[in-house]
Amino acid sequence: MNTQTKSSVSFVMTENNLVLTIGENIYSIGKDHLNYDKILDKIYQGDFENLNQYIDTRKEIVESGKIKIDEHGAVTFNGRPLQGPIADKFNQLVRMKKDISPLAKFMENLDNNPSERSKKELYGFLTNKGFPLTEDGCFIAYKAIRNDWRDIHSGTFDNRVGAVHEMPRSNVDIDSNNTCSTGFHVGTFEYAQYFGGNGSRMVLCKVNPTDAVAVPADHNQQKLRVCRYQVMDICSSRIEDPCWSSL
Amino acid sequence: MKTTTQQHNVYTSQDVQEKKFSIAGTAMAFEILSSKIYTDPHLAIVRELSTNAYDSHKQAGNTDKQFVVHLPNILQPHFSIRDYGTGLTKAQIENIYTTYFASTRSNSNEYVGALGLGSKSPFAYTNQFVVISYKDGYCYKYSAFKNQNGEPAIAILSETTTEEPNGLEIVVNVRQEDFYKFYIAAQKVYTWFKNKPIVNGHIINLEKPASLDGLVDSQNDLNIEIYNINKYDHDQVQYSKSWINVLMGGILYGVDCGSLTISRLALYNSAMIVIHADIGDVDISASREELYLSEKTINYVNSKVRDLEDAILSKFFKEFGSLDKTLDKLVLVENTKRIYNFIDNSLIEDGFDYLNTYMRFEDVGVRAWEYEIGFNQRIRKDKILYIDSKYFYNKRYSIITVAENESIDSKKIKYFMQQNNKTTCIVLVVDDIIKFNKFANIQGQKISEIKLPKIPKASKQAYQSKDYLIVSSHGTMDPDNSSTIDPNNTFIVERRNSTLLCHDFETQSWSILEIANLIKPNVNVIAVTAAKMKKFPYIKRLDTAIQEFDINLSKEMKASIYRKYHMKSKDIIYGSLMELIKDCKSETVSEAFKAMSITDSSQNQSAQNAYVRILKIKDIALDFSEFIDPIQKFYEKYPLLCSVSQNISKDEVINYINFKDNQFS
Repeated sequence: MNTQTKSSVSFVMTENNLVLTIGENIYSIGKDHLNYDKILDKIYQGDFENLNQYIDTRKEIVESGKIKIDEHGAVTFNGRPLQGPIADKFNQLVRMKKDISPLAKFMENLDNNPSERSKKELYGFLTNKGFPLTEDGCFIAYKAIRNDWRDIHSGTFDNRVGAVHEMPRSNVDIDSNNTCSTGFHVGTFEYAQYFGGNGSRMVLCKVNPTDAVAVPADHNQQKLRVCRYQVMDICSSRIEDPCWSSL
Repeated sequence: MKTTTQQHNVYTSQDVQEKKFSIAGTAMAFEILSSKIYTDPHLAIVRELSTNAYDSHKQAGNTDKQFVVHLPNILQPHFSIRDYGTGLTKAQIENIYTTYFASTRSNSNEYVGALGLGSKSPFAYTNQFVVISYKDGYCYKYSAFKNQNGEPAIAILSETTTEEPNGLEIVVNVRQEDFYKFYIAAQKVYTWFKNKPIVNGHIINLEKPASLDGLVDSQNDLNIEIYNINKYDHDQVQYSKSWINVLMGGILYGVDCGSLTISRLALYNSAMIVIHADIGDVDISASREELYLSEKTINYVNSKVRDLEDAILSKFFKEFGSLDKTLDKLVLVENTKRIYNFIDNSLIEDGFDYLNTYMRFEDVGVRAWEYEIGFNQRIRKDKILYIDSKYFYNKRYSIITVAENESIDSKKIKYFMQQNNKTTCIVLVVDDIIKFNKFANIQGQKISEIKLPKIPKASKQAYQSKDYLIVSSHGTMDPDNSSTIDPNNTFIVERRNSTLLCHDFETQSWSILEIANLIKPNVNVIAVTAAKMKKFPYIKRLDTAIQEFDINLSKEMKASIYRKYHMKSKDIIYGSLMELIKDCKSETVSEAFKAMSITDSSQNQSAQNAYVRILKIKDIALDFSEFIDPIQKFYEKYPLLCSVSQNISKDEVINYINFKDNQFS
């Protein structure tokens, strides 16, 4: 703990928390403030003049599409607050100071999904880690395939990079209680690893949230049934970045 | 709130010397008092600071004014409360914040606070928080923090003049992983506040659950509310885990029902009761997280529960006696059973046991079916034998009665259900009207005879309207025939701005109007198909429609529609090829074609049909040269489509069929 008064700046610094007054204004800055480290650096350097610009974080982010941010920092899409994994993704993007437009597009695509039930289940699936967004508002999921690029279950679908597989939505089983049923399946990195086992490959698949149909009840929300996906790349590890680009 | 400490009568002999216990003000002691007493620190902060704000507003005579709460978010990661109460002077702040068990409110039941612990509750979560007091033109800004020894301390950082109204503002920094916990805590607390605060930073739902009306007389002075709640619903977790709750000073306390004497309330998982208590009616624990189950508390809750039981029972018997139809009585019993457990095992009247009814529909002169629309809009029909009163009180069900001689048409029933947004429906066919009327007055409110609506001819209506346009890529679409339309390959295009409204419905249905109703009730539609459909004048080819209605469809969109059509035609062609090979008992398609030319067609009608179908669809498929890009790719992938007359072996066709059947991955 350090207490210091210097001209018009006073502060109390405890572990992970800083309270300071600059002139008449008081600021409470916690470890999770976007510029916490920078502000601390400035204080250590005794440079109090430009502190304000780091404290106010509203300008660090540009609204995109139907994602709006009000003066209190509340974030909404179409007037609704962002929830669960979507809010987490937004926070991740902001923390990394990345563009939020892929998320805005993702939300619009998700809005086009005709089934409320599918949307709800997709939220559950996305609470798992490692689903980066693409620029066009889709997300990347993982799929284990045979060494000859064919799918593991039937060995009929060629999953070379670039392949797009699609079937009418009505052919995909929407009932999540049917754990193994018709439809294309993608999953988390861990699930794909488990499902593929030895002697398999893993590919990254681009999935539009509009095409998500059901999250089967087994395997703890780790697999997703879709009616369309596109193979984007081969995969060796889980992608931690919030966004994915083929370049 | 008035706190009570008991007086003890103690007598000692003169030689006994008393040595008092004392409490060492160590960091550990402070830690226990400010954080370890709470099991949920996030909830504690929201609850304690909010009740302090509420009390302060009351003290200032400012109860109508809302205090302002800020919930944490990524851009402003803090929780704060600004009240417009009395505010505190410098001396008050330095006294109140540094003294545990110092409360200005422990002698009055006007206020919720009493123990002098709540203002320190942020220490349960953080090692530093901000206290700003606006008092009579001055603004004092403090940091409250744990010092090097871990002991709570407070330091003034600034003192200025201000024009802000009196009040207090507390700011607590929140870690990102705890945002959600604060949202839930705020929901739990503010849902029950009479004067809800202004909440910034995140939108939360502060609606109370729906009331369960009609179980007690509305003119009662019980001060108890009954709510309809589904405890399995994730969206309702913020309300309460307890069936019986006490609301005191804006805070809801769940009652551990195990500590009550046996109650006849049977709330199961569908209801909760809230007893509105005055401050001081019950005791609460030091953490204020739960009721302190003193004799006073238990007696109070027990007496309230008894009062409620009596009120329910008296209302029930008053109403039961006034009803004369068996069905109405049955409904009343079922409704009451949702909340009240009849200890007597029977309630028999005229030989009918209302508590244990196993009466058959047949007994009241009725045959009954349950219809249900499942996923994919398929309708299921089950005969039901026994009368279950849920059919009559549960709003999920819609009841249709039809006279004996009227035919029951599943399509009509489905249409009726869709029109009325029902997924389940009971159809009663009344065979014996006298028996049935004794059971339930058909003209009464519970059951009424419903004429099934005629299904409108979608086509005619559609043709007259130019508001909306349905584009179907399915070649064999027929709006009046349930079996052939496939709305999964259907697009709806809004004509005015030509944007795609919706596509890919999870439904199978029989008319275009029906599909349109699923999206926008009472909308008129035009059906358009990619195929040549001379038979149905209201179904236009896509290109004609585009011209006629002046629709600005992108090439991509058009191509997408045609591509969908192609996928379908591909299936039909391969299906037909298989049929052809099978019927002609040949090994290749060309063999089958040859066989077709020499076999008498009348002897092999099915093969003939398949053959015609193949040629027709191929012809249509080749019409799409305008949208060559996606089509070209399609042909590259499925070259067989272009060459039906070539030598396709039976194995290839079988392979394709197997491939289709195996759409697992």
